[in-house]
Amino acid sequence: MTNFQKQKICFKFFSKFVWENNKSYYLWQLIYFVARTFGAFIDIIGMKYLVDEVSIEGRRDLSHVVFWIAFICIGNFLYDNLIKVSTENQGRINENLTRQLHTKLSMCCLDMKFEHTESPKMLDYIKNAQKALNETDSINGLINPIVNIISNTCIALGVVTIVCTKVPFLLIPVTICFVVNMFVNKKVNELRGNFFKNISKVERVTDYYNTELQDQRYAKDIRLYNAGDIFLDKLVDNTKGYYSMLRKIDLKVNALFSGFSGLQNVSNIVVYILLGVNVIKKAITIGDFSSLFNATGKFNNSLFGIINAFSQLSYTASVLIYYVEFVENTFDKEDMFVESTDGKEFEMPKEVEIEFRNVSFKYPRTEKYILKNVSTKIKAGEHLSIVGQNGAGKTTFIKLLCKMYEDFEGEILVGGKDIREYSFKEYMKLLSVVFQDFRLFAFTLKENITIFDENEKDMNEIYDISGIADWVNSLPDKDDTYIYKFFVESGVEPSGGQGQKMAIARAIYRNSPIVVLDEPTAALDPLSEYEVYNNFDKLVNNKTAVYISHRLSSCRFCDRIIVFDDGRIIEEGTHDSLMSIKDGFYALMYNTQAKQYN
Amino acid sequence: MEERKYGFFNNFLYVLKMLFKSNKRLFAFSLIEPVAECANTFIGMYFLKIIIAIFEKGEGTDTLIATVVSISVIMFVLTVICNFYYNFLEYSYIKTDTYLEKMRMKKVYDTDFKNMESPKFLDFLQRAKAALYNGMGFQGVTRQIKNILCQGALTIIAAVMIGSKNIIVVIAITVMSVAMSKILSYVTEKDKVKFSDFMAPTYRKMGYLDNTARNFDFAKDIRLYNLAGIFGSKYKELNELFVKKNKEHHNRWILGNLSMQLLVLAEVLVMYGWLIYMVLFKEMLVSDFILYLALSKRYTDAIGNLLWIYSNVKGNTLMVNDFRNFVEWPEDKDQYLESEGKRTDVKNRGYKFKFEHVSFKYPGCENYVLKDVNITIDAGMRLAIVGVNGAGKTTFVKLIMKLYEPTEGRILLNGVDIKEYDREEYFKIFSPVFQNIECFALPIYQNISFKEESETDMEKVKVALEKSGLWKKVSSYSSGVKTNMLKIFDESGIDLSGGERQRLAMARALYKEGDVIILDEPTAALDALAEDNMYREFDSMVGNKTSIFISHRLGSTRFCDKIAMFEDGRIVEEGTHDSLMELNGKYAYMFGIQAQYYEEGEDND
Repeated sequence: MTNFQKQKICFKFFSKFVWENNKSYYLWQLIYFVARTFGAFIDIIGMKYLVDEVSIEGRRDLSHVVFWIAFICIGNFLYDNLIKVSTENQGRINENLTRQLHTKLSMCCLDMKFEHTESPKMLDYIKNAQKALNETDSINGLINPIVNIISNTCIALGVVTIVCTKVPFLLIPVTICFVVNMFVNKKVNELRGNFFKNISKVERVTDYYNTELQDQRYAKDIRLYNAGDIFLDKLVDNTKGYYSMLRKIDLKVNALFSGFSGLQNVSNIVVYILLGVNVIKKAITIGDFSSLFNATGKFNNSLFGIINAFSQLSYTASVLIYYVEFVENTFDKEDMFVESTDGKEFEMPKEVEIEFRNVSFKYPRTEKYILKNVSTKIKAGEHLSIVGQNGAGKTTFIKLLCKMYEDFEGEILVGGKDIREYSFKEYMKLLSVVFQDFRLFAFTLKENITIFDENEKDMNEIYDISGIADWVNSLPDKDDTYIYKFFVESGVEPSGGQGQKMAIARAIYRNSPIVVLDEPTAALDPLSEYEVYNNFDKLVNNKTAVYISHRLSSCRFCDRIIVFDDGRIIEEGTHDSLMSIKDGFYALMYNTQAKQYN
Repeated sequence: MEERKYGFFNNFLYVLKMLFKSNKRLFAFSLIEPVAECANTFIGMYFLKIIIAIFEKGEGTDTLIATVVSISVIMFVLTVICNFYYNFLEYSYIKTDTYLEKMRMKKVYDTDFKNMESPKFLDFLQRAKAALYNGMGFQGVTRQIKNILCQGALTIIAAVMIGSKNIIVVIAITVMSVAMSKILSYVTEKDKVKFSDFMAPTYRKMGYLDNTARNFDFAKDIRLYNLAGIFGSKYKELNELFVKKNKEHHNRWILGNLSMQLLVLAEVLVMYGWLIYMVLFKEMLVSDFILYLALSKRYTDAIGNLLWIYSNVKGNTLMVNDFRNFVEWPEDKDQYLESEGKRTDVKNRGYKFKFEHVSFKYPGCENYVLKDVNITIDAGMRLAIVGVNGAGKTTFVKLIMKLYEPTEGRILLNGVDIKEYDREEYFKIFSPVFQNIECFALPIYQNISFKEESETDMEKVKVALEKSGLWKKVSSYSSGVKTNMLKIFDESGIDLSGGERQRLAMARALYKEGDVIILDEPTAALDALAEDNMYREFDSMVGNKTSIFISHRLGSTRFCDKIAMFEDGRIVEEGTHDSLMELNGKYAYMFGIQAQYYEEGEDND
């Protein structure tokens, strides 16, 4: 994509966004444009008449002098204030809208289909979109340069008109300057554009060394394996490449700037001499001369202003494009959850039967099947345990059951209905899941458990069952205490065990007909684990439950065990029946663990 | 530690010092450019005066051409110098930035480990990083050096020149400029309290929502509990508050600017009044009128610029102050006694550790995490440490590796207090495998040796990989041990599964050939068969070296010679598995809980 295309896409997206959300932004830009463009001529016009008044001896009329001084002073006063009012308001609206853009980005992340959240590319897209908002002036960064380009062009043309009506010959050097300006512009943009293209990789490397590796989780390894030196060397090495790249570009830009300055200088010399000769010939007044002299300075600044504005525009667009691509192109509508709008209240079934029929699955954009022709039926109220080695397909099985991926082969029937026929939101209501890598939120403890859906359930009973009652009671605000310190300073940080128990409490509270437990005790010490096991019955009571654990002893709670190996179910039955299979895989795993305890 | 506050000039000089140390050319140019810029400005002001003087004296075209050409050429040269500086700064500053970044990261890598777990230090770590952001902190100050010098010189020269004509005008303008600076600092202060400080918690909340929504570790829970709506309404609430306060914030500045502009208006009126008076009644030449008009304008602008630069640079020097606090953060070694931290003769034939009445609390905490711990670990002994979460197991290991110093008591290695050893030398005797295994974005061999290719013994890397059972996988890559890990730099970089990472960590420990092996819950993420395998491999790796093994799974500790049971910071039981089972105390109880399911199983069979 060329730079110009990027600019076009960004402009289309953001100008529409502003139009839909805050039209007054354009009004402030218009005020800014008018003030800036006309403001430039206050001194040019004012000085001409003022100097004329004082330099022509016979004409010295005090009231005229006062008038022109007032014109200059009040004109500049208004100009400054108008610029300030309009830029402050632009800034304000820009900041407000940028918050909205951030919110929109987050909402895209929250609403995208689950499978995208496991694609490594997606994280890059989000990072870039985020960077686009953080490292540019977002909407202002895009619109301001455009307004400045137009305004500077108007100023330059205005000056040209004034100068050339007095001395038409001046049109020649001025035109040459304009043309060369366009050429320099293009060159500088190309150079900078190439730079932005190449810089992202260098930045990523730098980011790794100076942001990622400062994380405390690396601290032990870096010290005990004395790895610090190698990272310092690499950090320095990396910037060397960056340095020479930037140096090359900036030296070229510098040569262009100097060349252009030289040309402007020659043109200025011509302008001054032509004007001066006209003064000597009495064709123009000293007032004309001094104001035109100043005007050429404004002309030069405008031309450099145009170069800089273009360069800012192309930088901003080259970064902002990531945002636009993320929210516009990364997803089409089908990639988002769509709420079922049929208005029918979803009726929660009490008992649910689950059936996998010849289910095969491979992750998007991968070749290898993770599940191969899996068929099993979990009766309503049955407690099923899934065991197998790491990578055998257990977690994938759970993900499919949780409707996190939908493009599998075969069928999954839940309550007699194809899982794909449920809307995502209503299906989620069927599930109480405790993931291995569950997360808590920076809301109050109670909100973390009810998830803002308060009903009449006795919270104390839930705290009791999940084993956090004592802890909750010890907190200053009981269950209204905030978790983490993001929302209030007095928030608490639950320990691994407390957090895990909260996650279990959350699942109990939800009281859904299907319970899924994905290694819920991995982070617990033996005593806490024991406690959780003891309350396990209350959690899964009468419900269809699916349970993954590495500690095979826990399978014994379950009615049935299925053993996964390499994506297939290789054994199935009760603990006792599986143990009786000679050379069975389950028996092998069980005995391996058990022998440590006898 | 006490946060040190340096003054504005102190920090400004510090930036100059760093610039001088890291980049002498940029330092020199930063001093030369203001001279050129200042000269250019003055010549520009005189230019018009000189030409008009030519008209006034009625001189001819030749003089005009000669004057215009010669002045233009001088100005062109000066402009080229200024342009060059502008572009030079863009790339040359990278050298300074790298110098500072290296300083900061060196601190991160070398600082006492305890600092890396101190929230205050980590806070300063972030703030020190902010001081290196583009356009802020050091760079912000550096960019303003030339402006401070140039605008400062302009102010002084213009004041002297105007003052020689009329001192009252200079005083009047100066007084009004001081009044402006007062308004500026008043508005800044008020805005800080009413906006920045007030909004800080809101920003924190927004940051939390942003990070949580965009962190896919939360993706499953968010979808399962349908939290998108909750996030949406929280966002809405925060955004609305922001919009409201932001309006007040900007209006405050509009109003502040209006009052400052009124003063500017007064200044300009004083200036014009004086000059017009001079022309009309004191016969001042028009060329001088134009010169002094330009000079007075320059004077008011330069004062205004200085005010603005000062407030801008001041904010950045505060960031520099944070940076200095960070890199100057006190280290233990600064406070070592004569006898401490010097000995380098750690290497020995056997390693016998002895804890004598060791108590420990984390810096800034009230509670002791270890209380009066006494234990001897004989050379070649395998010690297992068990206990519930928070009993002090990990802290014990941190102390023995000298990542923390005991609060009370001492730890002896072969009879020598470990305080006496040099930390880097002491680290060399350990081969640790931690619970969380971190891979680095380096080639595989560097993930094991942490040395440049020329200093890495590739044969030894191969042996380590073979022993840890990773060789088969590594040799299947086309670049072998030179394959990059992680996708950060290399699209085709590889990542390892949990079990493979464990093996990588083992290879690291093997390559290092440390004489004391530390295993901190190394099998938590593994399945039954992999775990069993791993134990066997540990067993052969440990051989007859002194080793310490932390585990939750009590069954796995039985290959150890001695078991220490921690509870609430104390060692409550100590002995072999059999003796502890016989004791029938806390260890036996915990073991029983874990074993019961298996035992019942055995009965059923």
